[in-house]
Amino acid sequence: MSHELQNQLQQLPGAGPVQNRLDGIWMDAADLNVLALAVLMKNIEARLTTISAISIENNETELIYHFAVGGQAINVKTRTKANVIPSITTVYKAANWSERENHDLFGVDFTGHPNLKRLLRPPQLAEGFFRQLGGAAGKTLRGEKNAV
Amino acid sequence: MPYRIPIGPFHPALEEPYKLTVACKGEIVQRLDIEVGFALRSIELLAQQRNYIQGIVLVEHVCGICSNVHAMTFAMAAEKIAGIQIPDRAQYVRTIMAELERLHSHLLWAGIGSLDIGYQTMFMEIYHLRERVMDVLEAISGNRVMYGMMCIGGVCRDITDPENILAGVREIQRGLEKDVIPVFTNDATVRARTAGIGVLSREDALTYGVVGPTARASGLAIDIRQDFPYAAYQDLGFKIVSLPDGDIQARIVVRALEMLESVRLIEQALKELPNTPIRIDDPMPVIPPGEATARVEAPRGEVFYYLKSDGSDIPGRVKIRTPSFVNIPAIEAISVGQYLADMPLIQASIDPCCSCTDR
Repeated sequence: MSHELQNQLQQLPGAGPVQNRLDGIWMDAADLNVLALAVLMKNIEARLTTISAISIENNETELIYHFAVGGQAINVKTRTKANVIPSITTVYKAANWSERENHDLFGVDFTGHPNLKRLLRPPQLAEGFFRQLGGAAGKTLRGEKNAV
Repeated sequence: MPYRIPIGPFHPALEEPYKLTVACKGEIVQRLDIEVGFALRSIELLAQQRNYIQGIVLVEHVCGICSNVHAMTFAMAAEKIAGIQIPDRAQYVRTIMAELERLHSHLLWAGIGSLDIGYQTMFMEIYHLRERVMDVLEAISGNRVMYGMMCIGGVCRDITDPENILAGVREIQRGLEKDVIPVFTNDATVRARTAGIGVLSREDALTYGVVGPTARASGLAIDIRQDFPYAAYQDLGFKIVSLPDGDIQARIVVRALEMLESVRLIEQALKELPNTPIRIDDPMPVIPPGEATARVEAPRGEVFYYLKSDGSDIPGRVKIRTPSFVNIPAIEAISVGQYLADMPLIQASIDPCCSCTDR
């Protein structure tokens, strides 16, 4: 199944290189058509685990769509354009809250989402509260010493 | 003309904040809006400002009930990036802790569920039994909650007296077999309040992406212990519990039967505890640059962590997806068309955890 799935992923519009890692299949595809990905995953009865967001340079966001079908995990990495990306909520109801959360905390605009309201923080506060650097870069920014 | 009733943020069933706005026609629920975020602590963001050792303590506070599972998943993700293979005894101790935590969480739900059903005596019985689980957890870890057992590369404390722990677990098993299982599977009062109510179809379970007992009670045989085996589950031979009905009764029975499987797993793990160290030699392993995901079956379903490291002592990104985050939206699907009077039990039946959802 893994081999067949990798072929199907590579045929998606905007697909990128596919890797087989300890924690499942990974694909890195900056220009991926996420709706085509959602339709493919829906057809194989995959479950959307979540969408992880990582703040990157130029106010863009890296999004990782995590799916699971049986004992196979699929992780697909893509990027927003001007912090905008199409919503997959129309295909996957499970994406509804994940997209609202990433809109709230990372300011990502999911076009076509039926109800892109803030999920966790009050509407009076600015979006994108989680767009802060982690790791060594975050430490430097906060003026902390690097221990390692 | 439909009327709207706010339920929460302070709740009739659970002492946690989330808000349901129910639109009713007569006594029948027509629409439901769910609001969360009342317990947001920004733990994901805080985890990017602490080192890995501090991070384990921090993520253990995501949830007050399934605290151990968060520390374990975080450690597993870090170990995956660093390519650390933890000793066999640590795998067994992790399994024992995870299953004890499941017993404690399922009994907590069973108690609250009994109160919602209006069965006070059962609540007393179950909470008495739950105390025995807490005693066992305290005997192993020194704590009733927030056990502080996990570290990157193994566990912090050993189980030095398996015979004593085994005696405690057998007492819990007797309580389950004598009271909890018969009442939740056969009792007429419980059946009257739960059978055929709050049905989640298999299709809805798939679309909403629900996990854990909520999914398994709707005919979806998904369990991370079976699909992505971790710790010692492969060695111990885990058996999944799944029912096709999708109603509250099915969710109750799945949890009840799962507790027996947990007891069996704990007993077997205690008897077969391997004679190895409990952690790797390096107390502070360096996590090299990389990224990994980790999945663990918490009492309410799959806990998912995505961890990214830049090679420093602080994670670059920690993403936490808790089971209630995907289970709570499904309350909408199981409430429409039901009686307003059943709402406290219907929403409680998926065992929602708001501190998990909000993080």
